[in-house]
Amino acid sequence: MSLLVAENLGKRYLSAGRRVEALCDVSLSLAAGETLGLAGASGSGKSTLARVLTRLTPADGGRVQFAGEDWLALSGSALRKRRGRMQMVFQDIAGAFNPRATVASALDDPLRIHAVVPKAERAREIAALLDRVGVPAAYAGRPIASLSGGQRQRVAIARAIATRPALIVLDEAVSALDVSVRERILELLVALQQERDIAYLFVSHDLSVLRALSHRIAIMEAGRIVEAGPAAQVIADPRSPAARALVRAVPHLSPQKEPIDGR
Amino acid sequence: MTLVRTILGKPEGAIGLGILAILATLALLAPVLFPGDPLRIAGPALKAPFSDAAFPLGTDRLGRDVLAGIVHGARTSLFVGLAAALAALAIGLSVGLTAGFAGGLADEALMRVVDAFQIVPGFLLALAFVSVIGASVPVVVLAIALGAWADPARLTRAEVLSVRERDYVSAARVLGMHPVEIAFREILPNVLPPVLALSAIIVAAAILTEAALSFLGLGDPNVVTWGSMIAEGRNVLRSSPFLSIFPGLALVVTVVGVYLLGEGLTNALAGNDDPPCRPASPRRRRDMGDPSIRRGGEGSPLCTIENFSVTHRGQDGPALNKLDLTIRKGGRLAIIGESGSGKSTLARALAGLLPDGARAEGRISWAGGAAPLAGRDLGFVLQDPSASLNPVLTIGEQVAEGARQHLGLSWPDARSRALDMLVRVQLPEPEKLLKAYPHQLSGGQRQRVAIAAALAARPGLLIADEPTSALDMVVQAEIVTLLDELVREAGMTLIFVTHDIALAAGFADHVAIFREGRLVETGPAAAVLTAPREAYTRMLVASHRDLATPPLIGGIVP
Amino acid sequence: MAGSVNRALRIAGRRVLASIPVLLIVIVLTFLLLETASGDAVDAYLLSIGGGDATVAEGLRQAYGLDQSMPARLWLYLSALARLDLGRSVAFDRPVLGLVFERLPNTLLLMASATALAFGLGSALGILAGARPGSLRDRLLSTASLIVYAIPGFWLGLVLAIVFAVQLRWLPTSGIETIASGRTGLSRAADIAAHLVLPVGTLALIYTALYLRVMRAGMAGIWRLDFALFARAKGLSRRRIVLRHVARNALLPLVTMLGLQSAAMLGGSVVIESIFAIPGFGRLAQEAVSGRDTALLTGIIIVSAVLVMLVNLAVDIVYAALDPRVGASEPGR
Repeated sequence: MSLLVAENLGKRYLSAGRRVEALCDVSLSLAAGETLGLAGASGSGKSTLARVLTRLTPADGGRVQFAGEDWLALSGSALRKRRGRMQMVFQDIAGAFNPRATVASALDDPLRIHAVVPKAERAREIAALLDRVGVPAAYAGRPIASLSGGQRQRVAIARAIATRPALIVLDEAVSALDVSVRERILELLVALQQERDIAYLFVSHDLSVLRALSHRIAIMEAGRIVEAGPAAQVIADPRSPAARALVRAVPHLSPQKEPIDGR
Repeated sequence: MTLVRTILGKPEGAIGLGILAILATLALLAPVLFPGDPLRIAGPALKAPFSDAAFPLGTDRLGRDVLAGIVHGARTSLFVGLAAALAALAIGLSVGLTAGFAGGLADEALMRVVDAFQIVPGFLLALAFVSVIGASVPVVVLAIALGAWADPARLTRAEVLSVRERDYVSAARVLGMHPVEIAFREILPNVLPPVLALSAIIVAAAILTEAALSFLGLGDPNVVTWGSMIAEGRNVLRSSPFLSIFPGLALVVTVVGVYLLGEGLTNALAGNDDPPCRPASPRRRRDMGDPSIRRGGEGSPLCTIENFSVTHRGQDGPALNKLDLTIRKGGRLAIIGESGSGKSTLARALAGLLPDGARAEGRISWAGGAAPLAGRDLGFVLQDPSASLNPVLTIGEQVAEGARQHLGLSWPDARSRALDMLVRVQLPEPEKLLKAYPHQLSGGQRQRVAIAAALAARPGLLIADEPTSALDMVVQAEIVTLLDELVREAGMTLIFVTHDIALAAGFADHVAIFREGRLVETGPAAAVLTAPREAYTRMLVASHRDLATPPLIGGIVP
Repeated sequence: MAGSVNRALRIAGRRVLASIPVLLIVIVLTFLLLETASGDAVDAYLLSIGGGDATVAEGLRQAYGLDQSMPARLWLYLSALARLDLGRSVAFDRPVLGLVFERLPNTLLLMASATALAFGLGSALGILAGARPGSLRDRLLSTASLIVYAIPGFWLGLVLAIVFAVQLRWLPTSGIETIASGRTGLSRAADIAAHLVLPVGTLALIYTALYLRVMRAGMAGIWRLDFALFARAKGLSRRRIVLRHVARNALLPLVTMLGLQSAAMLGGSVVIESIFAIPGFGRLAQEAVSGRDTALLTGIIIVSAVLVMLVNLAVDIVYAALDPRVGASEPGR
């Protein structure tokens, strides 16, 4: 039984007088507790797809079934109530957090809005969340802007799991982080998935990141999904030109001076 | 209150606040300092200033005390200035917020009204308003506000539209936050600062407008204002000019105070203190001699860095700490480090492009004596190709200008050289590109243009500071391949700064690993990466993940 | 080249279309505002001629159409406007349009000269200041411009008049030319120029300070951007970096400011023309106010709005010529 089924999603917009098809006939599915990696070069539409699925941008066509409901048909307070089941982690760049937010206020928001725990328990829940993601409890009062990149993403993950979601969409969530930090965050995500049975839709242009934690990988190009399948298979045997380009582009740690693209 | 402290921290803010504090105090105490009606006849007419202690600034045509008039006039000016500005901001914010949030037809309609109020000169509007309704202080305040609200409205709306696109607003929406709460907690507090920064200018303009209205006789005749005093003094301009000069000076001082406070406010809210990058001062320039980089064979030392440290302005610790490193000619050196390692600082130091206020100690000696001149002996490529190119000049001009400057070519020759370079960096339709503008290209194409521009004068050394970090993986691979080929063909030395150890491994001969301003390890790439000596290097190698690295998950769908 | 002409035409076309509703709003709002006047132009006129009885007032009102209901008058006004008839001035007893066109050239001459002078001098000084932000030269120019911009225009005019016209007697104090001097051609032009030195100088001084600050602030902001660093990295001469890269970009907000300030300058001309007794458009506004001449005042406001619109249109076209990103039809390849 799939957690999320998207069928024939489309998204058009006008850019400088021309119609651009950001998404064209996109269909995918995601089971509970599974990670689907969404890869593509910039402009392939993967971020647009993430925004359409999280209802940040309206779709121009298609259907989405999420947790047994017609996801795109919801609106207003009905939508807001159910949003707790699908959360998002953004890329850590300037503008990802309200300049005024503290760690505690950022974690309090989801707990309050979705009444995850009674009010008296919230502080304890916040401490528990921080502990789970590896941020010292003493940081609760600090402004988020004062944290390092890795710590900010940990707080972002804590905020995302606070509502006990079934699905988290991650849009280039580790791309801006140092390599050593990145590895820790990926480990955290995998651990959380196994503990809490959360499905991930992980958007990235870096196949090596996707390989680390995806069960299946879908490749996007020019607004369409051009290839999809089990992660190991797509990477070992890429069929489409887009997939091949993405596989070739990953630098390998070999000391020989070979040209990067493996020609 | 930290805001007040920040404002006072800067000289402009402190002086402005000081001036206005004194004026406000005087204004408030006016009835105490100069009791009675300042418009009454207090003494003999046309007394000269500084001649009588009872009338320090003299008296006017009717014998009214000038100093009393000025101090009482401060009340009107400050009150009208503040009240009108407040009203203008209130109206402007309301309209701007409504337009920005409502969108659609409401937004269009409101913006047309804003347009209407912006194209009618504010002073004419105030003039008409006062003349029609009648001259009293509240009417003057409203009149000025009507002429002034359109600018803050437009700014507010623009800020709302901009803030709405930020990720933290999207995050709030995904959380399921109620739109009203989003508006008040996420959007509004971040819209206010730029609008508040505008408030000082509005106050100043309001004060000047009130003065002009009074000068034309359209102010409230029952209160003394600086404008009306100036108008009064006009009657005896030739004989007693001081009657007009003193109130005018009061106006200037007041408005200067408001401006200074406004600048203090803007600085406090923006809080950016980066030293701007100024062009090289004369002592860094070298004469046009032989490019010394080319002398010496492959492998000979190109550059020796000894005990070199750099501290940036406003930072406590050094960005580079007592560095010792030798760079060899003709090789490809990768400088690898995470954020804060100092790798970019080193790149800039080698290129002679350290920011203003950066303190450098130690030595960098170059083969042949003189440091290489950026552009002629050394090409430099930056990280963000969208920002490296000047948006208003053509690609052709930006690639050709380096060649023209350093090779002494005429513009036509420089342009054909630019064409050659665009071909060499494998850009399609290079003839068309010469006349194109940066915004018409993609990120990868812009970076190729930047490389072409950096190499236009055929330097012997290329320094690339994270040239692919802002590009996606596929484009990154293409750019690295391109750099590899270009450097090989021309026999250039390449210094490539990156955080990606595998990327460096792909084509570097030597690597230098940096951490927090210090050199951790250096040596031939193969040796360092297969058998690292230092723990940090081992950690970097271990953290690297490619397609062959085992995944973190079991691989079976649950 | 053809591309930029197309862009300019498209921008102009869009702006003209968008301007029509705005102009309508201006007309309606102005009309409504002046409706609230208690006592109309006829009352003021009768007051000025020493009184008159009700029949005379009634007759005058009928003649000027002032006796009908407000919506009716609004409609009449709009239809007259469509025929380019701005009504009749009661105080001057002449068509408004004629009055306006008689006075407008003087104001336009004043404003154009002041703008040209201020723009040229202001941007040049701004470049000097912005070439080295934080230097002594920069701080002096910034402080000076701050103080000058704080000076009220009318006061500055008075002070300059005192110094140059009264004390030194170098320049005439008022008017736009020496009346009944019978001069023609070049001699007349020189006479007008002499009369305009002080008023133009006053306006120009203040706006120079403004444009200096805008140019300087623009440049200071641009020095922080990467492309200034990249220009340095290409080893270009300082002159080229300052002029062709930094100042060329700082020109954009300055041009925008020109458009935004056109309305303010038109308003400022009211007091300047009042001080120097220039028979211009701004002075006409003051006379309309003192004469309670609603028709004239309405006409003046509408003409001002149209004027500002035209200036903004011209500025937009110039801006589009300077910034290739505006109105671009080619998306990224």
